[in-house]
Amino acid sequence: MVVRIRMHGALARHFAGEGADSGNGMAITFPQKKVSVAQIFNRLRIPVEVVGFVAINGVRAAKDTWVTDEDEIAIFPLVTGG
Amino acid sequence: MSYTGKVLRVNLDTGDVTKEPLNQDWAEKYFGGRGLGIKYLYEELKEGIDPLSSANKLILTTGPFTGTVVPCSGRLTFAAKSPATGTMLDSSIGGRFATQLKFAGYDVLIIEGQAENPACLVINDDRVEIRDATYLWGKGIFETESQLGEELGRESGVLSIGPAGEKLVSIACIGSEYYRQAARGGIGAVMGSKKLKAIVCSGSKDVTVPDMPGLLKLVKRLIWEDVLTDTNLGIYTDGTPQIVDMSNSAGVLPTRNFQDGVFEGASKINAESIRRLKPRKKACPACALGCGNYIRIGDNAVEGPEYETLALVGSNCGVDDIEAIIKFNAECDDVGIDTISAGNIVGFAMEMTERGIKDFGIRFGDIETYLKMPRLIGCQEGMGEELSRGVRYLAQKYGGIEFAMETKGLELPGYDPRGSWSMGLAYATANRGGCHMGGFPIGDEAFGDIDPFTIEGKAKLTIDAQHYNMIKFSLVLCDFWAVSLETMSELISCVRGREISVAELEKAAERIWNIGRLFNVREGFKAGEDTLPDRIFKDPLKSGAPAGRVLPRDQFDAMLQEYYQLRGWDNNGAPTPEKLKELEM
Repeated sequence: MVVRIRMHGALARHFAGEGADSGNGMAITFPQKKVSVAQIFNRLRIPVEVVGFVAINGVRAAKDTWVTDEDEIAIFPLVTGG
Repeated sequence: MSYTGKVLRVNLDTGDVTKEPLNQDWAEKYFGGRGLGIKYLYEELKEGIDPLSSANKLILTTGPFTGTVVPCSGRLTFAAKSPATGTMLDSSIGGRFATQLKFAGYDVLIIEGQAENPACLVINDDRVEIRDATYLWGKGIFETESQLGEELGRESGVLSIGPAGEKLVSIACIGSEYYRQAARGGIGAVMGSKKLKAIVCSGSKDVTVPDMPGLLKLVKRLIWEDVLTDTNLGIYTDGTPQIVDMSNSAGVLPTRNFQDGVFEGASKINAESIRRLKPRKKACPACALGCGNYIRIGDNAVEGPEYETLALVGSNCGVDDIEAIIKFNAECDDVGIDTISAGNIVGFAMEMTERGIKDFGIRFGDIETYLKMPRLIGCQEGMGEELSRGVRYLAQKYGGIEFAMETKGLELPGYDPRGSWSMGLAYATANRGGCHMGGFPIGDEAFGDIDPFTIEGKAKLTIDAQHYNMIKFSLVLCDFWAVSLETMSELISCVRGREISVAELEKAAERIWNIGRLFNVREGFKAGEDTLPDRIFKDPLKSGAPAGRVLPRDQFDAMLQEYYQLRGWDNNGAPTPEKLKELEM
């Protein structure tokens, strides 16, 4: 299955390289039919402590939520205030 | 240590200027910033005074780190009784004024009375003058600041009000360095009621700490290991606009006067759309984060727009045109009004018009009329005269009370409580009214990994978030530094020259929260005012994760009662004598 991952805020530059466009995100292929959000963190080597929350297809998800083919995953950094 | 030990008191009724010792006991127990400001306010203000009368005071406080190398320590706090809500009010601002005040030799500046004619207070070390400012009266904040900079030097710290503050508009702010504001609760109207157009300060003295090599070593380590790190990534790259996508995904982005929490135009007003405008970074003194996004488009320049502005002035008004939002923001900054309240007022007027309850002549997404609003409201012209009185006033006069999005008279910030129940409790219990600065539990909850749709554990979560902010804002560290309690303890111990544990800080935080509550109780506030707008209890959100959700009133009441119990307050939301004794108050 293929999922599209968008890293938001500074996570984009930090994990996808300088200048990466979080608008388009990146496509990642998994051999499985479904993976959990936690498995995606693991694959991308994203330290859990820098992640605020995750949305799948625009809706807030948990770390044990399953992700399936063609899902769009958005990963947001922690925030301290607006 | 690290305090100058001096309070500057200026009486505008008499022109008297006095210098007195800082109350060391209060500095010990309330630190500085918010805590110390509210303590002075509580002790010096008489009960029931008119916030726009000579009896109100404008209290400016620095903190124990102001003027040192401690990161993110450059902010200044104001305290006064709020003309918008009648509650205690604190409001803070970035820029260089706080460090200049400390360098001039003062921890605290207290302004009393009312000048007869427009005045400008000029402080240069020991020399303090009240000058005539008639020639500046009526001018916007940008022109006022430019003119004062030319006359008195651009290195000085300048605080000023625009026409809104002069006209005592209840959402008037105080501006500094053109693009920064102490915005909420009508703090600019308090300054305006004193006929004080501006305060200019420059200083040349030192700030001392007991162990300079120790502090330098600690700060050097913190900058690399705790400031310019992953935990603060979002702030030193995109700043607060990154929250637009988060809020929209969590379904809490106020849309069309909180009718929805998902905005179809969010991708046009998010961090990426701001990045395309190529912002330049600006920072306060002693800050390595540099959160300010300086943007100039044609004649309009802003630092931001910050998330709150994007949410309330953008999606909440049904506006997805980033350049229009920037123009609206710049107008607010110049006339001197709060963008959070302004966005709420305009959104409310739009819904009132669309529902046919009262025709304010403005509808969601009508950019042409929308862009006229800041000046009409700030200068109280045309329909702006009524709009400037705020959402509560408009709802009481014309109806729409069920969707008047305010608490204790202060319009709500940009996180819909139906998608973050802890944030609902934080708004309801905030001492200055609907405010996200009293506590930000949504960071751990809807923006973290805690279920937003349960009340379980939320009273404790909210109290912890409130206490964290009380410590941070009384030590006067910026909201945007995700600093731990342990690091704050390390820093204050180093600067005080004695160990101050996390437990001691937490006790001080509780004391600071309670002094704010005591002020409100003395003013007659009761539990019934710790509440939320009807829309939050009755109208389900339409989209996203919270679709179909309200914050059920019985659940809210249960959460509030648990909150009072955990705080050691009575059923009326007032601190008990036992609690006050425990806190040595």
